[in-house]
Amino acid sequence: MAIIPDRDRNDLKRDLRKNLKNEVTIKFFGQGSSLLAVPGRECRYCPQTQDLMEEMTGLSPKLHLEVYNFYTDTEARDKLGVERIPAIVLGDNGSSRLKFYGIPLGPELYALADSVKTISRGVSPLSMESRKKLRKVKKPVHIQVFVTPN
Amino acid sequence: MARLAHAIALENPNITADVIEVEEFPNLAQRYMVRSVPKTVLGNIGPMSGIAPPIQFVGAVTEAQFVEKVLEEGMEEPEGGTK
Repeated sequence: MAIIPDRDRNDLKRDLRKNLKNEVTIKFFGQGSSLLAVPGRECRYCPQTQDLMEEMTGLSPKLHLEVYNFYTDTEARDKLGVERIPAIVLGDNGSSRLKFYGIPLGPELYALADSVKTISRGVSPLSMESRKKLRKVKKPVHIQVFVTPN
Repeated sequence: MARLAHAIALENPNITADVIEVEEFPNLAQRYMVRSVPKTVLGNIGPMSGIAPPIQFVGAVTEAQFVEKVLEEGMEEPEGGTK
């Protein structure tokens, strides 16, 4: 069963087809396809989040999905700095600076789509003043935004 | 705030941005004392530290305000200082 409601899917599809320029790969980390639940490794929303990412990337030929197993693809996990699952990883030029932990439903799905568009187009939504200021950041800054699904 | 955080992170390789759905990660929400959302935190704290991260705010802020907070965190001299 589709996770993205029909109306949202049509809106999103139109938006992505219109606004994507370069190809973008979304990396998804879950617990793999094993049907066995290993104690301590339960991930309630992993299958649904993977389905959602498959649906989303299916909306545009410029979107691609790579699926990783958090527990066995340890090299990719550690390289990209994935700390928990479900995790959605994005970045420009192969980086992994943007992550979404959890299932992005409702407004968060649109926020994720906006980040995808920004990467694809290479055009920042920020003002020139903000962009100039951000160039001055010289040491690592880790931003965490806590949200709820609705 | 999620959009803004991601847009800000794309501007500078020194910046990373995580968006975290609190209901799926209650331990993290507890560690960062998330009582209402959106809550934004700059910096990390360890699971056992009990120390509040240096910069945090609840609710929406403007782009300019968010950028100032990122600068506050990211422009400190890395040498010789303790945080």
